[in-house]
Amino acid sequence: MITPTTSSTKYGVDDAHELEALLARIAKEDKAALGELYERTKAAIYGFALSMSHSPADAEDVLQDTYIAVYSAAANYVSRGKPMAWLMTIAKNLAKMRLRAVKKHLDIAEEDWGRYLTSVPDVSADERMLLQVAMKVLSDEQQQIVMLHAVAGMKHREIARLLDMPTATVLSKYSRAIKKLRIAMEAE
Amino acid sequence: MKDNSNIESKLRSAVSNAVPDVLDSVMDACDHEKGKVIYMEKKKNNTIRSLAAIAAVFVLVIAGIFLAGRFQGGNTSALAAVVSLDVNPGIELNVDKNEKVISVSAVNDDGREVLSGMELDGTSFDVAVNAIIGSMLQHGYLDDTANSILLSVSGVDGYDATKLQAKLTDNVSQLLKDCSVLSQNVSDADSKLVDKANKYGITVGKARLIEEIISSNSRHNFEELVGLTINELNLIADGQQLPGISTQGQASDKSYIGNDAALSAALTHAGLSSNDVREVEVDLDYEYGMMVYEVEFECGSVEYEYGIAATDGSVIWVEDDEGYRVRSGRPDYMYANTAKRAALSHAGLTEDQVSLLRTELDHDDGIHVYEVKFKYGDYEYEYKVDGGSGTVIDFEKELHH
Repeated sequence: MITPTTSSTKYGVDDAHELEALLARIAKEDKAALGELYERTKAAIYGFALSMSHSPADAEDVLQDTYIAVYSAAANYVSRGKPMAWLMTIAKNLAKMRLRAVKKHLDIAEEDWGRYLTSVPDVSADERMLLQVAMKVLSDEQQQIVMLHAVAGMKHREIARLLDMPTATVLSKYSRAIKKLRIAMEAE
Repeated sequence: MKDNSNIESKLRSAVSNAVPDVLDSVMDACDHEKGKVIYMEKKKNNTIRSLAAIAAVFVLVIAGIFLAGRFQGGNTSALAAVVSLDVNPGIELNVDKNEKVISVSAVNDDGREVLSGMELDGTSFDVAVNAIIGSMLQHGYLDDTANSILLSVSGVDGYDATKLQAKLTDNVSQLLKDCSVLSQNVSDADSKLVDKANKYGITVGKARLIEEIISSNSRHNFEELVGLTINELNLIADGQQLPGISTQGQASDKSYIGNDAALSAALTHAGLSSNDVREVEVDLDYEYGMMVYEVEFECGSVEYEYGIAATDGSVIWVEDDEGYRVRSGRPDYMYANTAKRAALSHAGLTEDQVSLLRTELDHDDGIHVYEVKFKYGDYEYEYKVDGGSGTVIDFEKELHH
């Protein structure tokens, strides 16, 4: 059984109207609005960037480039009530490009990831373990779907469109991924 | 960790805490980036002032010359050549072998406006051409935003119009220094071309130019291009050597945002910067009833192709993975085609194999979602497909009785 993601003020990613209002202000070169958008969506973008690129350094670059692209492209955003999907499309394209450019080796990326997490004081030991396990046991697609649904709060159908796969596939991959993650965490 | 929501919220919190702070570098980069994107650059140009000055001089001298021409008693003599001048106004001059103007006529309303109040019959050919060009400048048909003129000559009854063409081209090129002068000899025009010109009310010269553009770029058809000005046709023909047509100077694209701004608009839309891309190609073309920059570039192994509105830089279309054009301004049938193709490909069938194929729009959340239904063998297929991306949202396959 998959629990639908509920609206969360802390992450604020479900509030499409507010995000669209921010994009409208960013289109008028409002830097404060860009800062606000960044604060509200950075975890979602970063999580997805991480699942796409495997390396914290690449994910950081994708995170940064995404907001730079958003700043110059906000005027082109067509309101469809799906600002998160739009942001993710930008992040996805940037991550894909980077991936093609660097062709990172996975093993090295995993070590990088562990080292990076240890260096961030805000991440607790439990959280570090969860993220490391997630990166280790989940396939690329599973990571992407989990990040998009659990962290970014996107609907399965939106994820399906973004990743170009049937909604049913997204649903089953998601439930398998969560199950896998839970089992792996219990084993730790 | 017993249920999904627990693990989900733990993940959210973990990722949130792990995000590196890049806001400062984003802000710095944005200052830099924004300066690069320039739309609708207003260009001040001196050409228009110099052209206006030429026009003013013409107006002063023309009245006297006409009278002189009359007194010289240009009499009716045998027609040797037909000469046409096209800008958007289209004007035809009938000329005798002594290069005297027998008669002048306009082929369109703009041409009539240019000729109004002028009596050119019986004047020398050079004088008449100068007068017509002066009037075109004065009426604003030639300026720095539309600087192309097409000169076409046609010898009658074996008259060799080559010299006349060369002289005319020289004369006009000197008069219009910053303009683009297209010149051709249409003596060999067949009756089909002449009929076409008559049908659409254009000069034979313009009909030939359009035919040549079509034969070098089969995406266009005659009817679509017939209403365009010579400057627009010249822009479309840009870079292509059209057989039998000599071109001097560059067509003006100053009514439009320009290649650089078109590329910027496409890159912005793609979320890329100019450093990311290679194999950049920008061509001005005429599509969906408007001037459009076709912008192509590659990033990694991905090829991008955009249609950018030439007047305001808005994205008209962008090609998807399968070569379909999607996004704003996209005709609905294109979405439907994408949806149909996606459904058939998902089923592993071709259009020829299935029967009762139907594609119906089923708008959903402002997205072009289509219902695609068809029969194959004993089965009925029913799909829901996003016509923008071709993503299959839902499908059913049922045994039909």
